[in-house]
Amino acid sequence: MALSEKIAGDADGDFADGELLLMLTEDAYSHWENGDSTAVADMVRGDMQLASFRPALASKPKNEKLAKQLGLDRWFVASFDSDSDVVESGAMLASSQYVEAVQFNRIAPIGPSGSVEKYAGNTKSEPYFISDPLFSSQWNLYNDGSIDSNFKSGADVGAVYAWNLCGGDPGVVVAIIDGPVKYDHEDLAENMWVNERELHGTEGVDDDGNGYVDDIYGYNFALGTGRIDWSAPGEIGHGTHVAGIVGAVNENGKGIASVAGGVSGKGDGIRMMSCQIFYGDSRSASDLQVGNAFIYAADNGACIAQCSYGYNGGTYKNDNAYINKWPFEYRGLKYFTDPSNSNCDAVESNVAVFAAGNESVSYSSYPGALPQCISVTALGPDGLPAAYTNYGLGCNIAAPGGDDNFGQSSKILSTGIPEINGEYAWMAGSSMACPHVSSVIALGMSYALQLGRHFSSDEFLAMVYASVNDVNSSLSGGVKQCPDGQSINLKSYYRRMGTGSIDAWQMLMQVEGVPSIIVESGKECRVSLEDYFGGGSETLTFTGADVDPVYESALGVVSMSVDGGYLTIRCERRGSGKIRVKAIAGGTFAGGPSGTGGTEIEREISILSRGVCGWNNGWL
Amino acid sequence: MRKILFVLSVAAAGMLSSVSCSKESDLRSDIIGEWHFSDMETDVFIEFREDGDYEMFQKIGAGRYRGYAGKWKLEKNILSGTYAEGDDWGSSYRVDIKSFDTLVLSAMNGSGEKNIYKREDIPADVRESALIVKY
Repeated sequence: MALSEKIAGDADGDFADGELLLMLTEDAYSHWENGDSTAVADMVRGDMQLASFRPALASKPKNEKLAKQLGLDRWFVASFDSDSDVVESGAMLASSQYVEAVQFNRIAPIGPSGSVEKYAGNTKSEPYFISDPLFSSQWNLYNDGSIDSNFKSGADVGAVYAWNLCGGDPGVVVAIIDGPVKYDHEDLAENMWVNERELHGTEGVDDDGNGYVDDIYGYNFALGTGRIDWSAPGEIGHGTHVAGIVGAVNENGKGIASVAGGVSGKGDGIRMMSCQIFYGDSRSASDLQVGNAFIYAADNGACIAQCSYGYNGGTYKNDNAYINKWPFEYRGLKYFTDPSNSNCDAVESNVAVFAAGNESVSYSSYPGALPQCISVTALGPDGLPAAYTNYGLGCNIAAPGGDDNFGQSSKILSTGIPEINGEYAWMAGSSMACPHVSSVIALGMSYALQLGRHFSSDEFLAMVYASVNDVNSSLSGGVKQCPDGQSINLKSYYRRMGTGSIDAWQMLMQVEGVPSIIVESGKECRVSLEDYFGGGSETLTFTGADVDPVYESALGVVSMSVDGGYLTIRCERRGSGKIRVKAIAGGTFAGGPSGTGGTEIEREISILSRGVCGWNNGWL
Repeated sequence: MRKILFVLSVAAAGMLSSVSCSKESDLRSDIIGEWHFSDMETDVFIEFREDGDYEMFQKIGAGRYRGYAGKWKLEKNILSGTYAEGDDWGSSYRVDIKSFDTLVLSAMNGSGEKNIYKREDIPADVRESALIVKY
């Protein structure tokens, strides 16, 4: 292999000073496995001056087989003196016959969240539905259009209807991979994931033997310590704000409500684990730190990775470009979402959710743009795209993210850090949209556990993408005025915001199950696919429909096609069977190694062919 | 014992006879009430009301019950109706009341579909949990 081919990506952009990641050859790694670590370090080092040489994995993964399969165990960190030239050192390491690949330890920027403001008081006098005093300001949870005449009734996440059925489940753990979560916040503490053995253990000791010392509420990967730390200069409370959207405690008479924060105030919400990858104004995390955060989350029980960060939209325009530059994070993500690591009995694998980004460009940021990740665009309280949101290629679904258009109240109110931005604070960004989707997914998993349901990974993701309200009917034309005097052309966002706007109630209905579609035998029938593909089904791109021979014969299917959210089918026989319909979640084509795009989803649709078909699937 | 059986069978025959020869108004009053049809993965409850309104709750396969409403009418022994939004039913139906408890609806659209409903109260949880289907 040529030297240059061993060095993944180039040296542009930010990367950690004095560190390189390298992947050992299998032969060299076999020496390491046999306990000859000094010899391996010497082999790699050659004539170079290395300050240290250590495995990239921060601890031994629980799923060693998968870690090995992904090659995670063969990644190492080589550290140099601070005055060493990292690029030159990389070339030297790459020249070693024991090194398969060399990688700059890149640094991820935190997802920008717009301006931060302290909460100044209620905008409505009467709370609605639940007791949390600030609920009436949370249009993102319940928007009846009354806060401001520009707000659109129904432009919310549908939480108040979902709460009738489920408010969360402590068995569903969401890893907040972000800045620190203020775990002792009055409105978060009861819904924090707690590592009881560390909490009641000895300080400075790895009491639970998971490879991390004192990881009580999660782990601080930015500093390599168990202490979640929000004291750094420049800390803005981003992770704490995100956490409040996911799982602030409901019905506790304090602060705000959240989608999955329970309904009783007595610990029945989901749980949140703080995986701190950002530290203060450095606002950055290395490939190594982020990759280890995903592995930690998987190994310690998280079902959902809530990731309001990413690399500016358009920086990478296909999956391979991203994977080449972020090999450890990518493998960490693969580790997290692999079915063998599922932490929820209701779903075959864990789910990773990312913000689409805030650069107003027609590309999702990576890693969210990867097909196995969900990329979330942002809407304002008017139900229209926020001016800052990324959209288009790689974007999968929309959610309330807030904006500046109608004053402070059009942002998202959530938990803050008192000494930084107040106990409760307003922020806007796709960083705020992302946790709405994470929390709806958490609620869906909770409800599935409640009902004893189990779904495959693909099935569950398709259900998430179908749990939406239409956004495209408002995007066929016109402009949205923005406070800075600029405006955005709404048509630019048409069919580019994802499948629609996430809705918690619809998520729970998907979990309960979707009815069969009735068709009249002997006639060509055109039936809506909204139950299976959501409120945005009429503007979705469908890529095909097929039927197994056994059902084709049973139903006597003679023709079948999908278009514009409708299935046109002719069955000659009466009976029941199933067909499969495929569509693109976000955009008009699927992305992959050669280009960013949407995610192909497939729904299995039950068909009942009978003698009568009434209006809207009616029996009579 | 034989006598009782005889009496019962005569009474039953009389009931059948009276239904088949009943006037339209009698048939109409017989239809009014709550009915249940169940077959494989299909479960349908219908309430025909005196004022010409009806409510229907159906569960076809998975998911929760879906609720429909509208108007019904009977002409001779042909039942027809509309959904609340004004759309006609997929078919009109010939009505046979086999006994006080059994309603047979035979589709008149040429499909030959015939469904037998039993008189049965609609469970409260079906009504309360149903999703109402609207435009």
